[in-house]
Order: sequence, then C-alpha cells, then structure tokens
Amino acid sequence: MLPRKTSAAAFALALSAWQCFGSAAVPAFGADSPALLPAVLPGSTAQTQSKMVCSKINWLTSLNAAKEQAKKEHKLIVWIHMLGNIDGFT
Amino acid sequence: MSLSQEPTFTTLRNRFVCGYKNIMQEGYAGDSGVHPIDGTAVNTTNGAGPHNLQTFVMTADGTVLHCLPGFWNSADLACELALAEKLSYIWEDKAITAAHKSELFKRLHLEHLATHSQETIARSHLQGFDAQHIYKNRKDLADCISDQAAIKEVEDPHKDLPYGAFKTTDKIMHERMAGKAFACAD
Repeated sequence: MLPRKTSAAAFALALSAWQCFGSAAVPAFGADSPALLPAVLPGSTAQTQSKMVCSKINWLTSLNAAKEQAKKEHKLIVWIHMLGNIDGFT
Repeated sequence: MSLSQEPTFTTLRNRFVCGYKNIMQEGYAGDSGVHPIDGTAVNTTNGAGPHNLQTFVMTADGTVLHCLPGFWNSADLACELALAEKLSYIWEDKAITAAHKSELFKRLHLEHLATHSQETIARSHLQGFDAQHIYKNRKDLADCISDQAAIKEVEDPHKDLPYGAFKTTDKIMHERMAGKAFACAD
C-alpha cells in the first residue's frame, strides 16, 4: 500500500511523523533478537485484554471533551487515531 | 495489545485522559486486514502500521508533546509517555521563554532517543516494504536514511537493499518530533 495524501483536517504534525512509511502493520517474524520474537496472544486472551482496556479506561470520542476533562483533572491527553473502534472489530 | 500491558495500562488509566477517533473514512488512513475481536493478537515492530494508528500525547490546551506513528511495544510506549510528561512540565513553566521551550523540546527528544536500549532499537527496525518504500522515495525521505552512499550503490533494491543504511523508526520519530516543538493540534 502506498501512502495517501492526508486531508487538510488531519494533524500536520502527525503527517510528518508517520508519512515516511508505506506499510500496514504486520507481524515481525524472522528476527534474530529476542526483542523481536513475535508474541502471539490467543484470541481469548486478546479479547479479555481488549475488554479490560475498554472497560477500565474511559475512552472519549470528542477531542474537545478530552481537553475539558484534562483541564479539570490536570492531566495530559492520549489521543489515538485508529482504523476501527477501540472496542470492536477492525 | 500494548495498551493492556503494564505499566502502560495503569499509567493511562491513572494519569491520562484517553480518547480516540476512528480514521476509517480519512484519506490518510491505510488499509488493513480484518481483525475480529476474538482474533489472535501479534506483536510487531515499533512504528509498524503508521497509516492505521497514530498516538498523540497533548496537553489540555491541545499542544502536542509527542506523536507515535503505528504500533509501539508497551514498555517502549510507557517510556515515551514519561517523556511527554517531562515535556509538559516545560510547556507549563511560565518562567521559561518560548524560544527556550522550543530548544528544550528538541533537546529532550534527542536526549531521550540517545537513552533507547538496544532492545528498543531492535524492536524499531524498519519492515522490509517500508524500507523499499523509502528507497523508492529516497529523495523526499532522505531523513530516513543514515548511509546515503550505501543507498547509492544499490543496483537491485529487491535483492541487495542494505537495511543497515536506513534509520530505525524510533530515530526517525524523535528526530522529526525534535523539529516540531509544541505544535498545536488544531
């Protein structure tokens, strides 16, 4: 897959940070280093962990709401752009 | 997979406001295979899938402290979140001038890069097709190449691409971030 041009609405910063690559994520097989050995989670475990991430963390879908909450709670924001939904099928 | 691992999970839960946007309809989003909820999850390399996933860390006023393209190993992600927290202290410090803040932003990103372990660096190697893509677009993506001479000697990129001539994804990310001090997300 070749990279596509971003929409004007996307963060220009992110664009510059990621647009050097052409791939989708694939498993890192074939590496020599233990750091690269593929860790495979069975589907049931992955599902349990996914449910935990969704249920124990309050995922907002409005950046403005996230900013308001962060201001109120004096916290930083982790804002993820992802293909699919945090709690579902992608 | 990374978000559910410690210490990232507890850090996110306790110290960050978290949110996400589904970018499926965005022009810059990549393609992906089907990943059912109960499908197996597989570790991959740092920075893989950058069109499908981007993680921003920002302050409450929308100032971007960090941007991680693609997948990141949980332990490595936790370190990057810690860096973002350090950067936030600089951003919030009213005694530091804007110019000095920019300088510190750059310095902290590059110093942090220098502390990456060999394991982190090993997890950040470019995947083959990413290296191929950079090779094909080497004029525009020169900052992803560490050894231009080796790249110039390539005769058949499908056979003799010198992977050691490319920077690792962690290096590319921090070097690019170093030039984007306290950008506004809006």
